[in-house]
Amino acid sequence: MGQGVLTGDRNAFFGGLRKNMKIPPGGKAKRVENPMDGLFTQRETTIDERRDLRERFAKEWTALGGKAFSIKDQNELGQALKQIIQERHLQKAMCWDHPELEKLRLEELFSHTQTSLSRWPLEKKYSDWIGKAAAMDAGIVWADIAMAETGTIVLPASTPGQPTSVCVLPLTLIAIFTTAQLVDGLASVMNIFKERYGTNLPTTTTFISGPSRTTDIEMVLTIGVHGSRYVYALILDE
Amino acid sequence: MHFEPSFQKRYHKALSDPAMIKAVKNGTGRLRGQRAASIEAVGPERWMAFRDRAEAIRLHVIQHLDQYLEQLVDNVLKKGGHVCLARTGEEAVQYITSLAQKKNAKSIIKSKSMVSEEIHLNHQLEKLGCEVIESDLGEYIIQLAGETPSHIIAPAMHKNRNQVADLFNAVSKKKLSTEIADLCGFAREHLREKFLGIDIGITGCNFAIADSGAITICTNEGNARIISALSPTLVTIMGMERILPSIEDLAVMLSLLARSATGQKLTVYNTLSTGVRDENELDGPQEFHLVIVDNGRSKLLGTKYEKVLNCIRCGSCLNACPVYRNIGGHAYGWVYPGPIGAVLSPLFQGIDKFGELAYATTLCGACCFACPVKIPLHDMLYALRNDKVELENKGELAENIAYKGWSATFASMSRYRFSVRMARRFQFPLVKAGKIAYGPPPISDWLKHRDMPALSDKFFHEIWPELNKDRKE
Amino acid sequence: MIGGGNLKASLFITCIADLMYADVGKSMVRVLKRNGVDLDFPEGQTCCGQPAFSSGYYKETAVVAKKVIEVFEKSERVVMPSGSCAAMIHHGYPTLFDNDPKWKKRAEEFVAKTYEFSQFIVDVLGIQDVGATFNKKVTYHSSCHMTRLLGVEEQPKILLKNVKGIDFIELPFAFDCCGFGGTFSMKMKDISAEIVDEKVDHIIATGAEVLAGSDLTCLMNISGRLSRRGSRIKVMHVAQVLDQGGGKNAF
Repeated sequence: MGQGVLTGDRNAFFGGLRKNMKIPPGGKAKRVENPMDGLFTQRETTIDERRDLRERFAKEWTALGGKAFSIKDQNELGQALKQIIQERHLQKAMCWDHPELEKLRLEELFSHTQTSLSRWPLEKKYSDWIGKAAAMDAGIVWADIAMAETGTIVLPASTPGQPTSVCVLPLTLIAIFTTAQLVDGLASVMNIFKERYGTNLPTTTTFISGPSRTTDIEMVLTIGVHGSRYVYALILDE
Repeated sequence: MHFEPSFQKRYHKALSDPAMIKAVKNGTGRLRGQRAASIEAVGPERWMAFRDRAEAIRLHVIQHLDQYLEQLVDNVLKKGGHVCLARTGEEAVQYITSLAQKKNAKSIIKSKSMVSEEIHLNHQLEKLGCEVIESDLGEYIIQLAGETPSHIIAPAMHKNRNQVADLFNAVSKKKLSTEIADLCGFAREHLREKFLGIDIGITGCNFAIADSGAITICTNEGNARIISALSPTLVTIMGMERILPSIEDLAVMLSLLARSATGQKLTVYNTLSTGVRDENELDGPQEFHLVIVDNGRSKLLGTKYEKVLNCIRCGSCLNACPVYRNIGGHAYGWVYPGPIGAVLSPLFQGIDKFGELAYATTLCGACCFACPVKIPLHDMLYALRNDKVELENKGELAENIAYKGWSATFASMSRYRFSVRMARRFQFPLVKAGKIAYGPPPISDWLKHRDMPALSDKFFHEIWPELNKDRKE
Repeated sequence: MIGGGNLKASLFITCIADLMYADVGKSMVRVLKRNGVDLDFPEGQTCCGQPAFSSGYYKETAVVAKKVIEVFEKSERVVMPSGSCAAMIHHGYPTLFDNDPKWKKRAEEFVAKTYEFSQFIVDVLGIQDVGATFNKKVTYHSSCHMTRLLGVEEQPKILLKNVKGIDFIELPFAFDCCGFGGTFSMKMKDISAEIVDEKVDHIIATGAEVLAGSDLTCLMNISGRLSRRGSRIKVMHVAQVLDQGGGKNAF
């Protein structure tokens, strides 16, 4: 990727700032060294604690208008998907090309249903794939991390097979992850990101906490403007 | 939208619209209550700790703003994004309109950006022949109405469903009812069409992250997420103070932002993006432009108003303000309403134009307590008044005389006692049944809505000797 | 000098109590005396300076503030029947002398010994029950500057709740502004009226017979609106409520 272009007079812009900046009596405010310390739960969890986190996540997710499933095995996964297909009358679904989803053999599960499953990419050219993506009833993603405190799934687009379009365009979103993905909250997510990426973040990361919503008209809550209206979390035993 | 030049005219217009005020009270009441509930859940002490931390983070950043912006610029450029350093609104508009022309853009979709309102971006793009569509539902509603946002978080708070139905029906092929579900359904469908044909997407920025050259955007609707996925060319426009050092600071700010604004733990969609798509990615922008706007902000650095740059645009000061909830946002006359607007508007646009807003407050201080980053708005309102009177010498003549007289009188016991006794002697024509019944302004102003007691027959300082004598052992 | 109690304090009556609410002053004196305060009244006092300060006239305010500081220089403690006046001294006086280190020091010393009435009784005298009796339904408005600038919230409520026979009702949105705001009440009288109407609606809804408060400007504002709306609700300063029924060492 080449260097971007800077427009505007850099010296004048920053000169203007620096000219006005003053050192207050007592010196400038120091950098807050560890901003998250003392404010958030930050801990290593055991398998049992993560089972509790799953319950907590499910509670938050449900309160936000989503549905959560606890999944023990491949059989239960298939059943959950069948239930969702029925509930949402799904005819066409698309999923991320993600190694974890690969392991779940979703294509096989879907082959036992009337619903088609297409793995990303749908087509190479935007003009070809946008229509198809827009017409999908459901998008299936793998949540790298899930936050129990806020009912949030964290979706870093780590490879080209994990586009944003899958998680935000269709009316129904299905997020799959195991309890191993669960953490308490934001602090853990940021720590994982620091470890994994440093300052070299993925092109984009999406945090989703429930279905899309608005209260812009008379403060009345409406679900499903403009992102997903139905969100499902399938949380597998690790 | 046309704004009356005088605040007096604007707020009188607002007061004569009880349906609008009712909607604003409903909106602010809800948001205030939801915020209070979420603070209760966090725990008041922990919430205080969060605010202290957030204030410390923002103070440091603003005092080192040049460093962090330089770091951000370098990181964005390194990742292939373009940067425009716009000292003025015009420079930002010029950059974006040139880009639109270069790309021969016809369809421009926006997510919420207060700074774009400051610089009248939409209007300039429309002059080029571009269709500019606001995708945030509230912004879309006011766009159709030809109005500006009346609340930072809920731009159409002042409107009811009937008004929205009228606006939508002018655009919709199908006749829509006034059912909110119907109206939202139309918005989803109509704007979805627009999302699928974006030439240029324009977003705002909640927080830029300096060390990773990333932009964070928070929405409940997901509109910004869609825009940043489907725009071949993406422009993000930010006020230059909307920056944090790293993602750990972001954890603190996000936890406060949603709770302060609406009482939610997090907004539904939070996006953290570094701009241009990777080589093999199929969605995401192919071109990314970050427009960093000064437009008067750097003028505040190093002044007693510097802390106003801490602002994270959560809107909680609006919801706390007794004046805002009784006059609504448009009475403030510019982009930013409520307490933050009462301070920013005169600072950005001049005391001549917006000095009146420094008086649009009872100085109750509720805004300071609501503010997640502890901006001393209350103190700044006093300072603005002091600036007007002493720095700029623009105090009203009558007031100048009155306070000079007050000062001379009240600095001396004998002059004070003499004056108040004279006032008591000559108040009798104005007094009826122990109350002041009429008087010249400002007394008549008070009396319009309230009764007023007369000066006492005996002042306390006159009865003190008695009290003292009686009690002596 | 009043009383034979050990604790010395000076009364700063504030201009509004001096000129319009002398009865509040009387109650204050009686309540403090009953609770062991040796109270005096430095004669040169006039006004804390808030009206000029809020309007931005810092220079004019400083002239009066200096006089006030001088008048109370010899006092060990200063007690005032007004949260906003005490807040003016605490918050405003140091600001006035930001560029005058000598006066700033004097101002800070003055701040350190100045108290609002309820704050004084609870925090300095250490008394939570003054032995009053008042068999009425009473609600309480929490003034903005007293709570937000001075940080005094609970003390007046504690004192009120301990009054024998009182039926204390929490006021919904007690911390919401009453709409006075100094000259705001006149300059923007119509907005002020809307705000005070909200407050009055809350008060009426409690079913209280009496509204108590710690700030006479708030009370003047609220009672002015109550009476204009034809309400029978009585408005009293906390000192007047605490003066009811004679108290511990009544004469």
